[in-house]
Amino acid sequence: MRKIFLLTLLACCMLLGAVAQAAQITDVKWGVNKADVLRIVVDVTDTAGYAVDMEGDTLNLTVNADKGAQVPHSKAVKSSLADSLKIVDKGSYTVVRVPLKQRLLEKSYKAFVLKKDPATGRPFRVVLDVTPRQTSYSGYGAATTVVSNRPVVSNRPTKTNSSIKKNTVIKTNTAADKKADKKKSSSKKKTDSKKVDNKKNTAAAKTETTVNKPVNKSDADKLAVIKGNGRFRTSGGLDGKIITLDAGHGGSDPGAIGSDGTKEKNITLAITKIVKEILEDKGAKVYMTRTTDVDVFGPNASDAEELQARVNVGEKYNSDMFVSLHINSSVNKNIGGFSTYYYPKTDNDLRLAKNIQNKLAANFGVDDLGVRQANFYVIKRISMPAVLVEMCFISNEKELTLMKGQWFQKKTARLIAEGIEKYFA
Amino acid sequence: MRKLILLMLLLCAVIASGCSETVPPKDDAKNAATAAVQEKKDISFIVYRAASDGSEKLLPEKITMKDNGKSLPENALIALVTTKPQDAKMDDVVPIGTKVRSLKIEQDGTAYADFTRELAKKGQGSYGEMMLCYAITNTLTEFPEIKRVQILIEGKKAITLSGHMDIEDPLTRNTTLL
Repeated sequence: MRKIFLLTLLACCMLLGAVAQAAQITDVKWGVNKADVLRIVVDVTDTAGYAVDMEGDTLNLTVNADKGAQVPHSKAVKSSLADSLKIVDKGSYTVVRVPLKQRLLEKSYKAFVLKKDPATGRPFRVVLDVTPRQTSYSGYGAATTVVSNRPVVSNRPTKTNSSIKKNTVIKTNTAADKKADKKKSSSKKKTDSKKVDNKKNTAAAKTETTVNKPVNKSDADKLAVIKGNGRFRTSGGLDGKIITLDAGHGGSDPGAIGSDGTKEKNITLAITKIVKEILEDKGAKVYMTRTTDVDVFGPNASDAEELQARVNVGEKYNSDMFVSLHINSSVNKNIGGFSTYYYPKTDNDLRLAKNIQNKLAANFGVDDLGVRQANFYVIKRISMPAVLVEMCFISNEKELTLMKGQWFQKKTARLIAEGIEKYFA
Repeated sequence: MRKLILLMLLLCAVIASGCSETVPPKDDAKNAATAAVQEKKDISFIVYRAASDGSEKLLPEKITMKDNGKSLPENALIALVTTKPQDAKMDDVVPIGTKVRSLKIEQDGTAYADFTRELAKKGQGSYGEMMLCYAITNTLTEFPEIKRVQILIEGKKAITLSGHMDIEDPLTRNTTLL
């Protein structure tokens, strides 16, 4: 009897092993729907466990099944989210890696399984849906449809609906608006639908003002968020382009301070003013977030109010570009050099950063720290292409001496203006 | 007898279904190491410090200390904030006087790291601010149970530390700095 037991047990185990081994991936497919949601479907011969996690900018879908020999190691993808995906055989399991081109909002991906369907002959499937920043995502209220094709602060899904109700949405419409419209009439349909959405959204935000009281109040909930027309021009020369320049810090916020008391806010303002002059001479329309030593929002601003006030200037004038100028600082006094930061929210942020950084790097004898991606507020939350340029380190004695002088300030300003001009060329 | 066989089959079925749902553990080695360390009196963990050559990189530093009953992530965070790097190749980017108020780790993998107001020191360049944010985030996400980090100042969500970084949403591990 005992033997039979053991045999049964053995049989069970073998069966188990067979079952576990039998799960095999036969195909990995992808698709993009109207809302730009990228769907990845993994066909598996049997039920299999799965997990999803972010590893830097790569989204990993781990499926507890072997990779079938016929499944390729990589696949090209046509999506705003990724250009390719990799299928990595890890022996007992398989990882589908999706290198993302943009930072996702939180919880904008989800995985689930679809059962084997004998009626249609479809196998067991593990499905991963990834929502780009541009569209609304499930679980987020209907009233929160995102207006423009780029991220909009008031509609950030990480906040509760209440935050939207408290936001003041100001829609601007200027002559420049129409001008831009003409120039960018490549997809008129798209523009029209955007407009409709915009109206709807503003209306929804208004009607809901009287409903629930806000929960989880955060600083950002009190913000007045201005949204521009969501359009920007990226070519055709400097003439007539609308550019907003942001002199970093100011007023109550000195920014970084040098060993001799030199304040970042004063250097950034001086250089920004020169950049403005040069660009205006070449026919651009230039706005500055501040022209004197003040807080852009006003006295006693919170961090959020101050940063958003700068973003608002760019949006208010429907700028084609937003350039924020800063001076860097580090506890390590030896670090120096120029760096240009971008946030990959449009196809043009990186190109703008490269154009400016290349000019600075090629014409100064200081370190080239290069073009870098960063989660900086003003370049991330504004809708048009934007960069934040760090013009050397105030904590570095050599560079401090340099940046106080006219020669450095003029040369830096000229190179930044040249980079901007090249971008529009 | 029949009953027993049935039971066994049932057991097998349960195990089988359990197996198919299991996700392969990704950090086997790390988990094992953590477990082994916890059995002893000494505990060790990794904290990330800014590279002092300005290369915008974070370097790992292994810290070993006596088990004080606190969780490993909490010890790592406190060590990052209160100790100086032992290697000259690393810089301490945490503003002087900063203390950890608390660390809460939610089921969904979000860690709420609460600091005193010194952390949000004005006048740091964007370089210092970014290295600081990711020294914290990468140190905490070294632990498999932490997927993202929400930095709090005096118990409240902060928008930024010194005017560049947007930290309203939780930060995820930054692998480009490693």
